[in-house]
Amino acid sequence: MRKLVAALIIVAGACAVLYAADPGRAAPDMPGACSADNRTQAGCILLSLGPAEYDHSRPQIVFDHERHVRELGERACADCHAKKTDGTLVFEFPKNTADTAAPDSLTKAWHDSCIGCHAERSNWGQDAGPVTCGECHARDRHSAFVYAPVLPSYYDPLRDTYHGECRNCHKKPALTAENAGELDWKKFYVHKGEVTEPQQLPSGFDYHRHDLHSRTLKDDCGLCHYLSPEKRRALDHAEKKPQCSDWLLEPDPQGIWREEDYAHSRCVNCHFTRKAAGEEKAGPLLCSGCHTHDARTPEQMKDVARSDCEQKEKILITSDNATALAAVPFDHAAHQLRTTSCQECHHKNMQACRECHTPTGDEKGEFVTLAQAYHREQVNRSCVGCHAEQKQKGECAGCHQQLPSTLESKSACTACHSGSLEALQRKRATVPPESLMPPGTKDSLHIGKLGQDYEKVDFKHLQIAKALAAASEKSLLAGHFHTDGMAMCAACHHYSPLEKGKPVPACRTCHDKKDILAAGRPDLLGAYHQQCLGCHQKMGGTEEKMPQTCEGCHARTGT
Amino acid sequence: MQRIGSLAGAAVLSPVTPARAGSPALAVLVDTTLCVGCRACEQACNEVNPDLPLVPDTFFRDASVFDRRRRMDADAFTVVNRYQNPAGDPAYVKFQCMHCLQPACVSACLVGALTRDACGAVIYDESKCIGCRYCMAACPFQVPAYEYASVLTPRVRKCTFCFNTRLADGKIPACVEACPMRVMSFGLRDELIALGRERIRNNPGRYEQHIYGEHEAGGTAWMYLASMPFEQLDLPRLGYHPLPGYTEPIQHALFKWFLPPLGLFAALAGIMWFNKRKAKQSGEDA
Ligand code: SF4
Ligand code: SF4
Ligand code: SF4
Repeated sequence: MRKLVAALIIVAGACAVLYAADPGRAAPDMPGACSADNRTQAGCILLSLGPAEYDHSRPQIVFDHERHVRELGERACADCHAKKTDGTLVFEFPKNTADTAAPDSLTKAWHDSCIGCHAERSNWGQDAGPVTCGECHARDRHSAFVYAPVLPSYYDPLRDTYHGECRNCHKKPALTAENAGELDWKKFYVHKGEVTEPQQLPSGFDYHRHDLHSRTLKDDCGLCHYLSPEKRRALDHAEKKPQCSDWLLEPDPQGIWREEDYAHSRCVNCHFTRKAAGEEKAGPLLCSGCHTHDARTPEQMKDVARSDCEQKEKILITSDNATALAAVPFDHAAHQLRTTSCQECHHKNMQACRECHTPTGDEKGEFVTLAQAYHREQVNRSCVGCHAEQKQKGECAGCHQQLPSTLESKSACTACHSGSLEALQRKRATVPPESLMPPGTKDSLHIGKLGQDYEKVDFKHLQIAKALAAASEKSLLAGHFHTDGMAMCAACHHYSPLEKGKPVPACRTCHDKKDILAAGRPDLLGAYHQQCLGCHQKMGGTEEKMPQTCEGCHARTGT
Repeated sequence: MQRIGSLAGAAVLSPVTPARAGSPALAVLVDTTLCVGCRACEQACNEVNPDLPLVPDTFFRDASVFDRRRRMDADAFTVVNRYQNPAGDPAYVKFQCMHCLQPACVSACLVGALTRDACGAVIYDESKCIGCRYCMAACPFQVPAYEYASVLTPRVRKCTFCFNTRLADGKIPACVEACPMRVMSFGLRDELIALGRERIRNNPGRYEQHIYGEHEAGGTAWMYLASMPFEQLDLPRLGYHPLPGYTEPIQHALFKWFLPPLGLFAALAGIMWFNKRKAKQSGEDA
């Protein structure tokens, strides 16, 4: 017995020592360094481990690129990235991948590059990075690793059972190297769910940065932008200088290049070259130099010069289509002030939308018609899409989440399609909400007790109407579209005709008091909660103004 | 079943008729986009089930429970968890037994302690349960919990669909009634599927275009609508086939005559006999 106790103590001691010594658990030793739990900083690159079917027996890696550059210096860039003959770097990793298509060869290339370098450095007695698995593949608290079989299509739950029958064929380890990929049972039993997409901080090439670059580079657009060969020939022939609208944003208009490849190979290489040439304003070389945390808002860039592309301040957008609605007056200058870069709308080049998007759509505009380019709700480059995005935000979202989308409410068409530029000048008169209500409307309404647990509610109708009207007035966008004061009533008094000074049907007309799902509609209690609480949550005001707890609106009974 | 018939329109879409064989009757549609995480449902469930330990009011007002993802346990038949939708807003999901149309737990149970009532509720009879916990292993949603803390009479625990506590009296489930946001709609399954489809159709962009549970694991009585992929809400991606399969008859035939336990006892007896003999022999040798 004594022997057994002694053995147990020794084993426990050994476990404790091993556990404490496990470097995989060591806390990151640099303040703010990337770690499994800190992945949103500039330079933290989340290395995903390939497709979900692939064996994810280890968590993905949060790689601290910034730290590698800081500690190894810029000269070490070529240790990881291939250098072209002209001295520029190719920002891909790992640099020696024989066959990137086969997952195993890629894994090997990764491991050889990282561990190889770390091991070599430690041989030379230098500060070296980790070499054991868990140090790089660190588990984070976001990873809720779930083991779950991803069943192949031929699996039939009526015929097969897990484990037993699967393993008849999928033996472990797989019998031969050729069918290892096919028959390793691990392929079907993987960690699920935690193949998070890399999260990158935007580099924010906004008006401010563009302005900085054009001043430093003396308006030499050709350093960053491109001319198509045809355009170049045409300009040379006419001996003209290129204009804004001639330049392309991408070297390859077909868009096979991903934006990050483009940005890194162009920006970082240029900064390198300028630094080597001893330029004073060479540009940042560290991740955090460009990928800054705080994106500038349009308001912060109010005074920054927008590029001069001879753009008009106000444009009347017309259509050749005879059946189309009236023309749309468009305040280009006002919109420019509310964006962070031209690219928010001019996504490929600085031309007018109709240059690529033809009325019927063709290859040049990727078969997006002109009407779609303006009205597509799902993309934020289109007018309607961007406005819809604005409506998702704070003060707008409370009401708009309850309303049908713009394109469904026909009255919204004429708000844009007004036909003349004068509409932009019109100032909307402020309508005090009380003037819209039928005479005798009480400022405050009592909503009676509906359940047992809470008292009645004192609903401040007028105060809320006023707050909504004030919010609408503050915003230029809202002011333009809320054509009359009644628009502010429509979110709560939905599905009913609204007319100035006329009474509206009470909520209980449609929402039953007892039956919790009469005719598919929520009952009165549900309707109140969905509308009040739903709006309060979206608008996210203070507890005092927009309560989100039960007691914020009604007291508990018996208290 | 007649009892359920008396629910007659009180709170459902239309009067409930007794279920036809194979046609699931009652169901619940959970519209997670409406849920605000108030946990009134959890509290109502706790109050309505007299054999659950009464949890103080303060627990249900404690938002810190959302810091981790909880699972149902022996003391809670339903839990609400918090997730984040792509817009960065919180999304809440209420979990409980899904009351599968073809429940794996029922098929796994050796002694028939779990049964599916024709009205749709999957119910547990503790007097029959032998504590093998096969149901826990079989359930694709990891619903049944076990009273590990109870030494003498541990039971399997899971949501009852308020079968005896409320449905029997013609009332709707306690959690459905308590929810102030009316996240849950209770009614006939077919009509709730129609209601779900209508909501998806009428609110473009608001919902994932799928009713979770309509077909999953052969269909469930509790179904979900959500604004983001269901896997991200811990509602696992499952095939559309019911899980109990051909294995069921074999397994049941095997256990019918108490064969494996007999085999086990025989083996134990054999080992004992063998050891005894060895001890005797070594005793003789000494
Ligand atoms: S969810 Fe699980 S416990 Fe509930 S009926 Fe289905 S298999 Fe049984
Ligand atoms: S149906 Fe009844 S037992 Fe099930 S979670 Fe709701 S209240 Fe609890
Ligand atoms: S009571 Fe309703 S709103 Fe509250 S947590 Fe439960 S399901 Fe969500």
